[in-house]
Amino acid sequence: MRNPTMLASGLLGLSGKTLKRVIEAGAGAVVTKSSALKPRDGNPGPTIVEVTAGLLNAIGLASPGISLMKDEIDDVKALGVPALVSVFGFSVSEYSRSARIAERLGADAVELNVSCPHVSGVGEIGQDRIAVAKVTRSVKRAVDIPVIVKLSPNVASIVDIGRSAQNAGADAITAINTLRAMSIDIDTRLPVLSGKIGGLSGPAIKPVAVRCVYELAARLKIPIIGVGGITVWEDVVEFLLAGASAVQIGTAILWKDLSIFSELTEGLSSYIRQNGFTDVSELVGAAHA
Amino acid sequence: MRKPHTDKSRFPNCQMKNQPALRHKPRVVPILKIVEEAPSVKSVIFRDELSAHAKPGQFGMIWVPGVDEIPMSLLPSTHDSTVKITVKRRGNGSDRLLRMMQGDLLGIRGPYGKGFTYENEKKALLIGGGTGTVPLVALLRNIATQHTRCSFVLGARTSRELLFVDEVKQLTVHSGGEFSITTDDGSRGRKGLATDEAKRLIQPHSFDRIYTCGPEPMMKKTVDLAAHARIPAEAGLERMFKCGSGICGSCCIGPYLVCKDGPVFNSAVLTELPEFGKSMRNASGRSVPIGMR
Repeated sequence: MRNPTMLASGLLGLSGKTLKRVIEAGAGAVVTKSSALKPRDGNPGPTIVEVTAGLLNAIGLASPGISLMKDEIDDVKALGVPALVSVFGFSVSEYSRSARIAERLGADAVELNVSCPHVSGVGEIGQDRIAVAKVTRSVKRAVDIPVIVKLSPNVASIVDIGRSAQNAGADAITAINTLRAMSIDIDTRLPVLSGKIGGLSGPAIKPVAVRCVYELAARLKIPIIGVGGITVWEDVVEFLLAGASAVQIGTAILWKDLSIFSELTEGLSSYIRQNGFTDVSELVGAAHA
Repeated sequence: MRKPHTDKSRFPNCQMKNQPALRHKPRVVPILKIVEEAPSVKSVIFRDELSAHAKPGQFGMIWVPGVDEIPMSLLPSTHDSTVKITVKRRGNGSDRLLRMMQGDLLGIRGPYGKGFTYENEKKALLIGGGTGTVPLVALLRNIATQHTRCSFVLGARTSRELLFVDEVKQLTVHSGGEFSITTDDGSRGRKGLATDEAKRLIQPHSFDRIYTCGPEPMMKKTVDLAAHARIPAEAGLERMFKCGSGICGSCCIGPYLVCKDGPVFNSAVLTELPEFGKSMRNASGRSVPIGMR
């Protein structure tokens, strides 16, 4: 990767041409929209609602199905940038079948979405260390490309789940997916999201995400990709210091435009220079004793 | 000049929230009035300060509580902070909206998107089909009063489906432009498509800008005619919207997001987009021919 920033899964990741814009704006890699074997329409609206310092979403894992992602993967790779393909499923074999298709279509890595908090059948996997291990092991057997497991924060011990994934062969961890959350409108007296419960993202969750990355980095050997509420370059530094080797950006795009990627990398470079470092890698985990 | 309206709402919480306004959270308001525009087409009027300042071509995401959230072109009132949306039956959300009554609550967030360009053109041509007429009426209200001669082709499948005829006629004629009606079945005006009429009117130098909104094949033909006559044109597109705010990517056309880079696009951009007039993404994100959901 030319820089440690990536586009997080779930944003703009349906079409190769929109992903191309993200890459041209400076992202070091992109993660596609989570796809499974079968197409899914997702939830009716409202699918998003803004909350203070954050966003709730219950899009419902809408996707055209992994087999239709070929053009997207080709478009990304044509720009010389890693294409990470996010997959999910409702059974162990669905994960490995989707991952195998992703590999065949040219994915440079797969990111296993075992943590979407608002689609039942998926998020529960990430709350069960045995289920996570089963899925990870099965996908590792099915593909040769790196397997990254995206963890849920909606657990008592994210380190337990992370260690389970690592022991099952995960090549890296992405932490964190969204927090299970909701918003109720007091005039209609109804939950705003049609799916009622959604996932919270954005600055509101950053302290949770930083804590998760810190705890995982202290106990795991595999690299961690940090994600959750990054909006400015200082946030990137914070995640690196906590132990992330790379970061993902998502919700911030709602408030800023795609120029955020170059803002982040420029800010990070300045920080590195001004603090007497020579490389990003020197920051990774530097906050640990 | 629009005056802010300050009468007490039945729902004081709408005005009394003490947190800073969240742009992407629905503001819940009561329906003030319902107008039958045509069989199975109704306009719903509500008060919302922010959408009352919508530029022509911008849209709002309308929360139909308990059912869906749907994108609608915003037609602000010319004299107060009320807004009109014009609904025809297309799915669960519009279906419920058509059965709602005065006093029922809906949510509105927006305005979203880029509206039509206006640069004091001397002669403009507006071509509207079906409910595509709505954003063009917003535009016409603005520009016909600013010394631009506006001609308007108002098309529909049949006479009963023509919208805003009287207002459009009055504004165009008053501005010195030509007003024409087309219906597919010939029940009013000229028999045929709005683009047949457009073909007749669009000649080199005949207009400074052409604006169109309606079924996408109609808009594609109009943009092509304009390009051929070397007249700049703009079209108001529609796509599957989920977030409506530029992050999910569902509404993409080529590299653009219709909710953020559009819904109004100019001909220079449109003529480079193979999907324009041909294909769109459905709810699952799969590419399908226009007209299929």
